[in-house]
Amino acid sequence: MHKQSDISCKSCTSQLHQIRKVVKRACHEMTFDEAKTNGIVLAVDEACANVIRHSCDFSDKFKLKIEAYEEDGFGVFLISDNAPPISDSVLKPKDCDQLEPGGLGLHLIHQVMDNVELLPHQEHGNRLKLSLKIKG
Amino acid sequence: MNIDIGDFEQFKVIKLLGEVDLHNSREVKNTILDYVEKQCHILVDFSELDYIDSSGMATLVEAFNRSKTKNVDFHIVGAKGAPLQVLKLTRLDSIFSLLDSIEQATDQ
Repeated sequence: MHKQSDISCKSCTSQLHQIRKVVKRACHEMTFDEAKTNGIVLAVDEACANVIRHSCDFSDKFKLKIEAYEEDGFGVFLISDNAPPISDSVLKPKDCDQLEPGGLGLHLIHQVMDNVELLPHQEHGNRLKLSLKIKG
Repeated sequence: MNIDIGDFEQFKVIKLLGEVDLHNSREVKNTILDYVEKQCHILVDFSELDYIDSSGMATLVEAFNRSKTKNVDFHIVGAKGAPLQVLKLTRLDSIFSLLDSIEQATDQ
């Protein structure tokens, strides 16, 4: 595992811009092309936004950490927080065929990434691992 | 993110500049819905939009649905790059009316 970059910040929507910048830089270092980079930046942004909205209930008293690294030919983006734990069921995307405003974020994450995995909890918080094959 | 408001023919042109995300999508929502409620025909100009997330897309879906009940036109203009990619990933490119230029709106 070679660590590329990471960012730690408050659970605040004003941090999303900076998170996207860090993720974009990590994608370029992993040699993802522009389309893949756009997709990954979107997926990580959506995941962080979901944490801020649903786990933190828009409170900025929690912390977010995003780590980007290569692992076995995959680009991995690990999003950790210390917010109340969520269950696997909330990660299941709903059908996007219906024209409704809600649920688009999860749909996008699953559209873009090869793997979306909620890792076992530590004492508190959540760890969401998003990964995408680097070449192929 | 900035929002510029202009006019073209019978349309209200709402130009989004920069990045729309969860931090500012409510401002976009309030602006667009306000004009839809006033029964303005709407052009949402994406030509200088660098990024939009699902909260921004949800705003557009809500405004689009509302425009149908208000019987007003609703088009998206100049989508390219990452925002166009999001429209395709959400399959909203087949729902919304996407135009290359503002001038095309009068041909619809």
